[in-house]
Amino acid sequence: MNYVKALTLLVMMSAAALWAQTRAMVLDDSLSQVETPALEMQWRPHTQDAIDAGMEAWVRVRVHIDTRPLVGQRGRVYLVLPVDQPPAVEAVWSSSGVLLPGRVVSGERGLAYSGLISASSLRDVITVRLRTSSEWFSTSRRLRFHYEFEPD
Amino acid sequence: MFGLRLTRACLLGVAVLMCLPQPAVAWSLDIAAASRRVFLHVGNGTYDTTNATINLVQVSVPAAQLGNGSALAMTSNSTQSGSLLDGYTTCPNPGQQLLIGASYRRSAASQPASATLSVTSPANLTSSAGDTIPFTQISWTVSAAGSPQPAVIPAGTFNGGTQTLATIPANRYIENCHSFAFANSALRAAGMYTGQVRYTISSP
Repeated sequence: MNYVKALTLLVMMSAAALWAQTRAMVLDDSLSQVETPALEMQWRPHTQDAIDAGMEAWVRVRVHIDTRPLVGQRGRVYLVLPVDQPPAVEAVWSSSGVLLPGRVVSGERGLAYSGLISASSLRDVITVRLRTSSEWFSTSRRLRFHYEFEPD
Repeated sequence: MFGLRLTRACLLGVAVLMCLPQPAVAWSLDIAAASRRVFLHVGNGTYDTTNATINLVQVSVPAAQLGNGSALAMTSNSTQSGSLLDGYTTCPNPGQQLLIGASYRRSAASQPASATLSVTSPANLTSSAGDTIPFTQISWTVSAAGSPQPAVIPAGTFNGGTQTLATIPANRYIENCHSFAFANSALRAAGMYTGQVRYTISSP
């Protein structure tokens, strides 16, 4: 019985993921520029219980999202950070223009814009703080961010 | 039977998900893990920064007690009572204690799992007249106010060579207070005897 329940749950989760993925449209932001595309994480101070607090790095990104196919539509734009390797990376960003500040963790997405798409592009400069715990599988990794649109 | 049909449906669902077009890479970021780091302070120190201070631990043996075998507590010119980690008063009497703290940080599981804290002492303290006192005459006890592991670096006696004091697990910070004593077990020629010990943290 538990086996059937587990399979049912898996099917439902797959269906939900499929529905979400088919509704979301990956946006072209190939004109975005990362000011420092290669970063070295820095150690954060130890915490009070003497346990390591992990590493962090900061980066600025000139975001340029092509929204020409979406002009006149209402919806939400998400910043997506696919899983690369454990441990998860947390990205918290602040913005200076049209984009919303937000947070995303590996394998998830964070809301970056909501409302009417009135222009052919969304442009902003965001500052992203990256944090992870230590104990990576390797000493370097590549994060591949992208944006996706979901209509209202 | 129901279970079998459901399994097929499930596999079909997974297959469809895997066949969906993958999102194009928009902006990517290559990040390197922080470099491995060891940190050590003995007495006065500054967190994660070099501090050139070398503290002095000393004792004057009263004439009436020369070589009588009664150990004499040594004093310290250290003023470091607070932990470099959080400022907590780990060593409430720095005039009789030396706060020692060490950490080892690694960023990848493939790197060594620990670092080693050791101390090297010369064979003897020496005077300007050339007289000597074995360094084995100096020992220490340990404490750490408020710590559940006051002996994380254990008590001991200098051996006139290099001795391992503690193993520091990855991404941990250890500290405690060392109080030194002179064994005073033999009569010595008058004079000022000095010697320097060196604490070292290392990881392969």
